[in-house]
Amino acid sequence: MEMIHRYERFFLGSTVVILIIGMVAVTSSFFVNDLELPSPVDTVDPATFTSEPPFNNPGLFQVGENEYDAIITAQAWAFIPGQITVPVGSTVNFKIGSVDVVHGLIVHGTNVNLTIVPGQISEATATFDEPGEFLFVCSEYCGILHHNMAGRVIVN
Amino acid sequence: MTIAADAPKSRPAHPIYDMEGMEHSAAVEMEDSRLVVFPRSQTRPILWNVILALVAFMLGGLPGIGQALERVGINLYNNDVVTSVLDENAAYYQGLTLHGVLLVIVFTFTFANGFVTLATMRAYGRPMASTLLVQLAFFLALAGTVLAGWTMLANEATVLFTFYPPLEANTMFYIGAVLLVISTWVTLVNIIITHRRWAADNPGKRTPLMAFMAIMTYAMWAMASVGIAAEVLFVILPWKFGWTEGVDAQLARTLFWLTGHPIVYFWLLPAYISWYTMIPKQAGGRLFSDPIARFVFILFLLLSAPVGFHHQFTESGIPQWMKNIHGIATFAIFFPSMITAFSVISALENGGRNAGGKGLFGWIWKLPWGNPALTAQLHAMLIFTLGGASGLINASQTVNLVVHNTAFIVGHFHMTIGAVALAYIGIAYWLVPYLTGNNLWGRKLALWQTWLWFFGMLIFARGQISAGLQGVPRRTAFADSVYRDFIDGLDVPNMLTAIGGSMMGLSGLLIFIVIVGTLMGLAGKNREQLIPVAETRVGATKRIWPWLDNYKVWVIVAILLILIAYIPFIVTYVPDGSSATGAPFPLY
Ligand code: HEM
Ligand SMILES: [Cu+2]
Ligand SMILES: [Cu+2]
Repeated sequence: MEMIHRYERFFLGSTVVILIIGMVAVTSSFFVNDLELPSPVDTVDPATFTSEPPFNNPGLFQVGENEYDAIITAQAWAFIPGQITVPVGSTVNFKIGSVDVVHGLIVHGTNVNLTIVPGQISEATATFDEPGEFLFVCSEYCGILHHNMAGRVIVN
Repeated sequence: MTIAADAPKSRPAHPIYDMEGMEHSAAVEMEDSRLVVFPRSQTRPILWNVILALVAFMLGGLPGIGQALERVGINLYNNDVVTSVLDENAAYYQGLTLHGVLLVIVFTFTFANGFVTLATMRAYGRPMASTLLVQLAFFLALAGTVLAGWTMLANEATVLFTFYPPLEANTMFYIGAVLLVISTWVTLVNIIITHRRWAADNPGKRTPLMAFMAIMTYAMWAMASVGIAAEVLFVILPWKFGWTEGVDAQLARTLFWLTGHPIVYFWLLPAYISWYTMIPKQAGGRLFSDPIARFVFILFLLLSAPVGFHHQFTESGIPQWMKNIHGIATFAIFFPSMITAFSVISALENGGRNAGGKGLFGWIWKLPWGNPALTAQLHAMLIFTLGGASGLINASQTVNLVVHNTAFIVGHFHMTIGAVALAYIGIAYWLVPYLTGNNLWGRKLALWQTWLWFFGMLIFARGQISAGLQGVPRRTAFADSVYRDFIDGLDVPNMLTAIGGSMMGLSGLLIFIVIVGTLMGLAGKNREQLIPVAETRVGATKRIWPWLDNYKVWVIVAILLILIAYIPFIVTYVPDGSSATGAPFPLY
């Protein structure tokens, strides 16, 4: 009896082809669309977190014509600031760090999805082209009031 | 069904390993019609493992029902009975921690230790080399369960099963987790010694397939578990003991996920042992090819671990290019998964045709659907296929940003581990009878059970997937949240989650009834209970692909792959120089 039956060979061959197509598609879609995953920005010492820049002064800062830096502190159980307001068409760079345990940030209506690890500064960018209210929530368990850790971006 | 039925009459007068006589049915008749009786001193601890696993399954499942009903505003957490057990403020997350730890650590580890040990004994046709280690593995797991369970119930470890520092738990919680991991290492050591002894007694013979798979499964896990062991021993415990001021949270997570991805294959491979080497027999067919099955397990050994960053796409401590590499490498697991699909389905088809099934799909209806041990595992395969497909979605780096840490993931992994759990239950439907000598009681109930889980799971997972796509985060007491009314389109998903979850809960109740009835012997005794072992279409004689059996080489290659995958991080990661210590007040 042949070692690998021809049906099996056909099946496995197709699997390899599908696999390669899938890998190429996923990888190229990533680079073609110029997408980014969160990458190292800078570190921040939790011990001096609240006394040193940037998190000694969280808030929204205009850095370009339509561009803002949102410096956000994540702590149990709130984002500071919990609400930011920007005009339609703004690009917002979220820069966020945690003062205590691991938190997360998911901004609805965008691809912003960060895990905020203490010691690391996390960064992601989104453009808000539609007016409205966009919820952002903590997406990593951080204690019993984790479900109350949320905020919103108001675009008008 | 039984091997005994077609065995030659002239079997050796004296079984080789008749230590305490055939007190119950834990005997096997080997392919060469040798009769082997396993000592009770080993089959009992195996049974205890299975019972501990099932108890963990039952207790761990209960909070799941609360979590699912919470979505539609049915709050079980302020019920008097619940608050007499759980802390009234922390109840949701305390329950969720119990759910995670009991189901994916205790249930899976103890079931694997018991089942894979027995598979090893059956494959070699001899008891384990060390009875002491069989017992030790059980008692370590029991002690670990008691320690972790006690801290969780005392609300001193409401940190979820991932226990990311600097979220802090009682030291005993970590010790408990370590003991559970050590129980698996002890099992591996015993498997290896048994293999050595067998090889010394059987020069020139090829390792039986089932034993080969047992070795590969445990070798893969032993390597992978080094990450979590290092995290606990070198990061968390020194901090707990006050030797270091805090933890490097990013490093801890990276170590955690070095183990956290391959652990899913440690859950899965025991089910695959059943699907490759037992299910064909139960379906009345033969395994397609023994050497290819070995090849698949080697691929799992090699490909499981070097991909952990795909759980860390959203963390900024790891450079993007490293994540890209792990992300792409993740897809390679598709290959052995598809070989498995081919092998398992062809064995099933073979069984269905042997039973008279005709046409392209006619064989499906001829499978023994009346056997709950088989039906549960067929359902598990179907659900798992969807779970695997949704895994491809998660692994796609771009889409990951849409689904990461949302309820979508909950939908995904209930279709993977929830399917594996169903497969374990299916195995238990013959394993408990085998180990006790009692017939399975409540066969009809068991069939209801598996159909309920099957449909319940599909409904539940669909609900969670849709909720996740609307942006609902996972690990969240949703009904209590400040934003529950600010997310649109959740009515139907929440309803599906609750209905499907209830069906699974009901299914769990039926498992409890069937297993208790079986343990009590309500359906009487039967000494003919046997371990199903499949024959193969292409067997593995000494000549076919002998390189497959070079364990040492494969383990070395696997270690090299892990090093290649992690060395860029290890050499470039600058510890953040800080020590995260958590919050100045208790978080639960
Ligand atoms: C009655 C059946 C079950 C129901 C209704 C159920 C329901 C749920 C729900 C709703 C969640 C999400 C909770 C949240 O993210 O806030 C969850 C989480 C989870 N479930 Fe289940 N589940 C069931 C059975 C199982 C089984 C059998 C397993 C594995 C063997 C399992 C493993 C998990 C794990 C690992 C989590 C994640 C825990 C975490 O995020 O820390 N579940 N379950
Ligand atoms: Cu948080
Ligand atoms: Cu993974």
